[in-house]
Amino acid sequence: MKKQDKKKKELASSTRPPFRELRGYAFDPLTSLDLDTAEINQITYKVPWEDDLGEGPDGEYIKVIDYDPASDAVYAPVDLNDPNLLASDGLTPSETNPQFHQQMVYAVIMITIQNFEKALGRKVIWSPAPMVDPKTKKFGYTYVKQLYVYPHGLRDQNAYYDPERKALLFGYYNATPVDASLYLPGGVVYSCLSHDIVAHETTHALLDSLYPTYMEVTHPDLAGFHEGFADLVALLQHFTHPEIVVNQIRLVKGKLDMENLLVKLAVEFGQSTGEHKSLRSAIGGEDKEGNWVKITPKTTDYDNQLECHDRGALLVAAVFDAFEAIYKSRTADLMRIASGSDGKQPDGELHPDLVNRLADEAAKAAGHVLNMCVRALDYCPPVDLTFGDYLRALITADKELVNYDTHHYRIAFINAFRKRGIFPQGIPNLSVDTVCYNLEIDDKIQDSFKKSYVLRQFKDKLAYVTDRKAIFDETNKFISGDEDSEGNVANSFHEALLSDLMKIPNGQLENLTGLVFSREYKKLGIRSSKTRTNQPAVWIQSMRLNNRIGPDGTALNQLIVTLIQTAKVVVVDKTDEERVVEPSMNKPEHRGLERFNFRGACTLIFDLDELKLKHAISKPIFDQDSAGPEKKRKLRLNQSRALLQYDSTNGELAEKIGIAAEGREPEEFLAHIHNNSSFFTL
Amino acid sequence: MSKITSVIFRMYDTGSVGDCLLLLFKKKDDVSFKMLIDCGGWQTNAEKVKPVAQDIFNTCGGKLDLLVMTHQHKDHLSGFNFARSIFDKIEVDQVWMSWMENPKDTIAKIVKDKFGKKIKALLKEARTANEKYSRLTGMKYKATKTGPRLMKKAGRMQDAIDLLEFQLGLDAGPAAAKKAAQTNQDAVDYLKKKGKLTYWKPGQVATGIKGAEGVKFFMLGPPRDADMKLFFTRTEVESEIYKLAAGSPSVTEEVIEEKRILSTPGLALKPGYSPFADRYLLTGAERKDWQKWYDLPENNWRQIETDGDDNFLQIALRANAYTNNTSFAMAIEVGDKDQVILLPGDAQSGNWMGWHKPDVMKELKTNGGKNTDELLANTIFYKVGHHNSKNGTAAVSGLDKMTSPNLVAFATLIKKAIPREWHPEGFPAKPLYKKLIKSAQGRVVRLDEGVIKDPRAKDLREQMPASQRKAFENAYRKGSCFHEFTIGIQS
Repeated sequence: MKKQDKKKKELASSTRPPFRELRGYAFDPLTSLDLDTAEINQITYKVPWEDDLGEGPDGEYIKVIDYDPASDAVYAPVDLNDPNLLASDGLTPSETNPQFHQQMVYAVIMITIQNFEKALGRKVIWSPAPMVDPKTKKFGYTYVKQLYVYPHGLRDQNAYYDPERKALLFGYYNATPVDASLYLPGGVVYSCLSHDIVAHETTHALLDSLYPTYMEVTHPDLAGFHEGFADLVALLQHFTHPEIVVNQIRLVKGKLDMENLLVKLAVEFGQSTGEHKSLRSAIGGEDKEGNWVKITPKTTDYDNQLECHDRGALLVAAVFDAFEAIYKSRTADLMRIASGSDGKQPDGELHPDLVNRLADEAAKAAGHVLNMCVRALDYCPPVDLTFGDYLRALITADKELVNYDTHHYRIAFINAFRKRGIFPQGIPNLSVDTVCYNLEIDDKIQDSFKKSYVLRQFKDKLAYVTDRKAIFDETNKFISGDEDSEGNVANSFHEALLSDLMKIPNGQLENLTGLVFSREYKKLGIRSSKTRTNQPAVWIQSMRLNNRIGPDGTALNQLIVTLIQTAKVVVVDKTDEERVVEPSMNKPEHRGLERFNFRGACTLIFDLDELKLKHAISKPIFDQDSAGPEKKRKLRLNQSRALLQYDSTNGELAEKIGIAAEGREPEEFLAHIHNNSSFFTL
Repeated sequence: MSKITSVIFRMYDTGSVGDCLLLLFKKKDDVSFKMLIDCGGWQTNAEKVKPVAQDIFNTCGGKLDLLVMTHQHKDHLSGFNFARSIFDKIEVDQVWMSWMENPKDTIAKIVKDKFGKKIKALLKEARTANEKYSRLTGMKYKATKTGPRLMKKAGRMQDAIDLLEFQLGLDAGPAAAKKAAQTNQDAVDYLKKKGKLTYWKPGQVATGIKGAEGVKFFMLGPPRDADMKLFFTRTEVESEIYKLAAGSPSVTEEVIEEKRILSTPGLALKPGYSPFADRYLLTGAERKDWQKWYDLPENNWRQIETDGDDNFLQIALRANAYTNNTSFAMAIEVGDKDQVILLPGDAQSGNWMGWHKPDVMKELKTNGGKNTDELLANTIFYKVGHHNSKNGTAAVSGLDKMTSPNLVAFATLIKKAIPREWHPEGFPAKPLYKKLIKSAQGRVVRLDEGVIKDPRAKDLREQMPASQRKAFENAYRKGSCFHEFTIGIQS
């Protein structure tokens, strides 16, 4: 290489672009057919720059594989590093060019991942694949570098995340006469071209990366949460693009009904996909006079809406409500400035400056709310997440990072959830302070963590690791320990943490974590630990390091550990009205009954600066109310939780939730709740 | 002319889930009218059905006054194929079927045409898909619920094929399928020639039949529904299903979706052809290289070729429900006290709802003096619809209205024989079962249990006045291959 060339290259690489700009649909191709929205439907996504992006695209997080089994075809992979494409912000949006489809899924998925990483303060690592290592023949959880993305993987009106294969599959299908007003009958609709569908499915994968246990529908809220959260991310991402919002605000000419501006937008955003009908109906619609109105929430909503999409829509509506309140609070001054002396806004078009400022505030508020929603995930229990738990997580996460809640975000959230009958359990009232998790434990216990070798080590080892595989490997080492050549395990965090915890008297520890540590475990159907004799098995599901900086400079350094304990149980019908959950045993009355895993779990959040346990968010495996004092402790299984779990996958309730569709396995529930045709029962 | 004094209702065990019902109308000690409804089993064989047919032959002395066919499903028809030699010896006076079986009926023609073609096409596709699984792994898959993903998928595809074959009356297995004599159609054709044939429409009432004087046969279903709305109605109508609480998708959308899947004429996307221009396709060496990569052992667990197949089972299940809704449903009124025996076949919600259509109600009233509501209120013997599945008995249009304190229910349910693809956990449907036990005060008889052992039913039977309990116990009898109940007719 000539000296001159080398210099050129050096200079060029020092100005590595932060983004790769890629054109795409803001909504989906259909939106381009609508005159009102055509203008804004093409936007340029600012996708985080990847140095070694291969053809496919084939990047750090995802690999797009354009295999179309129904056509027995493979489409040539797009090379986004081609100078022509670099210079023109990628391919022009087009339905007929599969390479553009590849570009579109890549852009939307990467944007969604970026939003998560920003909020969580760490790298996204896909949930590992349980499999037998072909070399060592040992079962383990294998690192999954890339999500596989098949933009034309199905010829079906369906799209889903498959947790088993760590893959996103998008379908394409013939538009049917049913939708004749929207689609060209017989035309082909590609789900991979819809921003909402792609963002939605990606969010499923991201949620799974944090909590694989959420794939087990152990509570009516869980399927709803997966759905609702995914819709929420898709919806809020639209608002983070000010250019879309500007256009929409500008379009509302004449007397602008500012009251329902965001509702109108959200509904329109939802409409474009033609899929999220429940989302639309949960937020608002046109009344008889053609005005946009918001649906008035009812405190009975939470009790009545059990079907997973409806339930998800409930969550979307609640969060959207909070978002709207925040937006209004943020724009109250602008609206006052824009009003005349009579307190009314003038007729006619809005001042362009005002439009820009409003759009800006909407984008900012959407960004904050999205951040909050994602951040809250760290404060959720690893199983049985309810919407009430999620509200507590939202408030706690925000309170820890943001000292001064100037725009009353937290109250907005509590109000929005309360109005729909979503209440956290076991708290005396609904003030911010009580909704926020508040751990009260003995100083002695806290002191034991101060000395913890693990807490100190973990941060040192992992704080500066940026390679995703290295993070995965190091974390695993902490959990399972270093293995020497003879297979002896030493220095395991598992052991160390448990020995740290074991210093706490059993009763206190059990109450803190909701898991069983005393000898009683056998009676509850919990199996014994493989490494510690006469101790119950406890599984460390994950350890995550958390580095966040709040808007007022508050820095958080946390270690989040999720623990899970499993009991094998059966439900015995004692009488018609009484059912009892019992540990599964080899006895006649248990024969023929369905044995299932009932889990207790706990999220422990440690502050790494103070070496303190900050929170223990638990779903107890035993009944804490009847446990009794330390010396006379008697543990029994948490009947109500176990029964609810059983019912969530069996019988009437499961049917209502909509996951018990025939011919499908419960673990594939994401695939079939996305399939319209699966809601049928014999 | 003497009156009917009792009716013996005999429910045969054909070795699998299925209906085979013999009704013997008696005038004092003499049987004056012998009526057979269906004879079939889901997975049965000649060995199991022949003793049943022989018993029918012996009981009726080689002559039936009336033979009724409810609908074209194997579990109601296969016996006529398996035990053809015995049925050949039985003389039948009259054969009754619903208007659905009438080849000259325009509505029936429309509905059947649309359906039959689609089912055959689906079966063909499903079989092709199944071959793919065999190819993929070099082995023939067995239906399985556990194991690797591909196995599960193959299992589901097999389920779909079984259901579609069931729909057409073919027996599982290619060898058996080749035998034309195994089809439902064949059994139907046979029955049509067996005696004097009458097709009935809802609203009609048959009376004055020789041997069954004073007995009125009220025809209730299937609904004459050219737009097929009720035929597809199964679980969508929330109020018709016994449940713990409410909330459901809307009817119209489901119906539209059904229509979309089952009756869209041809798709623009042709199987095996890509929707994109050829220039985008990898070909030749490039494709081979790609395939090499895709087929690497480490990619095995992430391959996707079989993902598109999942809809078959759904469609097959829906097709099934459709035929159930074509069930010939009737109510038989006997005696001065207007006691009613209700025989809905496998009718599902849509069929039950059809009985309540104003025109049907009015016609029944005009022709027989009772409308559907009155018939239900007078029902003292109920053949439980569709083997006790949750939508075989309607709530608002059915069981809620059966208020007689003397109600007895017989269900052709063999829990163990419910095929996996029907989802055995729903047999019996728990909330329905509970309600049924309550309505019948524990007097429920099942093929597999006899008088049911459910503790709730036991309690109710015990709480009954001794005389009533005694009467029930005396009326019930278990035979070599049947359960029977003698319905006392009051005068």
